[in-house]
Amino acid sequence: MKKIPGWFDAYHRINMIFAGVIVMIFIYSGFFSPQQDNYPVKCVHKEILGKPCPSCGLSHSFSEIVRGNFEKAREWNPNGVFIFFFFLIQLFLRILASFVYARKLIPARWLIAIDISVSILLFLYCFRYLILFLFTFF
Amino acid sequence: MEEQKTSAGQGLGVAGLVVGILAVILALIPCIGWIAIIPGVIALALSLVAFSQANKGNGSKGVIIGALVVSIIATSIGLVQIVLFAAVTSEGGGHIRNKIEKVAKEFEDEFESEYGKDFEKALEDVEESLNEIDEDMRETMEKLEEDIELSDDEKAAKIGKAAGKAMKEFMKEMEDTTDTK
Repeated sequence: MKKIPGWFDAYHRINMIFAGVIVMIFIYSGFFSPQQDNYPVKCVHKEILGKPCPSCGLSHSFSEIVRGNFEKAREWNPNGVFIFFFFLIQLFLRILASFVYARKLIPARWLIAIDISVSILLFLYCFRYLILFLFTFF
Repeated sequence: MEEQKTSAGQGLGVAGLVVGILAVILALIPCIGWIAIIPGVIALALSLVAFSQANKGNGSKGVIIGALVVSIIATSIGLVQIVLFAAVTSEGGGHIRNKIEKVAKEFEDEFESEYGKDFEKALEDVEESLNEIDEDMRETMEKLEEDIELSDDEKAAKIGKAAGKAMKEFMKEMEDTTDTK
């Protein structure tokens, strides 16, 4: 029989995968630029209803942030800065959590509980306008 | 003594959890929320297979249950988005179209009672005037091109004069066109 794996062995892998995905998001933002407007994803809301939704301009906003143009990023999408920082903080959190876990600085169960709580609260705060938008359908 | 847990289903469980969390994030972005159905269903399938493997091999189920919950949430949000969006498009589309037609009709009626003139006819008049202005502008531009040999100062003065004249003519035409009372 193999040894006990549980949450704890999986934790490292999950952290590394998420860190990789976030880095890929940043590379995507740097690769496409608002000047060339060559983004592959179009908004379904705008295409069908002709009205922009709260996530319109998010890719443009991310690209401007990656280039250091925060004012322009805010113009493209006021929520863009919050959402970008959610990913940035998550990137550091993944690395930090893995480090703390490997060094056993705090008990693994505590670490995972804190990580999940912080991530959920941060997510709800940064994505609040997008989440609230879903309720406008009702 | 309690039997020791194995790593059965852990790999698929982790994959399901990661894909599920990404699907939740995607689902909450209105522009691309409907796409979340695809990773959501994939995550659900991975989690279910992992769950059955863990059951058979006495594996730890913490990650797998987390993956199941997250993938169900993601798939539900994606589905709700698609269903509600379809409803809004079909009902709201008709509603919006009716509203636009109503506003257009009101505008035409108001225009006719205010200016005593058919709106379509007024539009034709405006178009005619704009064509005339276009002709004048073209003539002015041709004149300017003829003067290209002049010195910079003279050129600037001429261009300024011509632009001023063209602007005056344009404003006059616009006033004549809108002043239909």
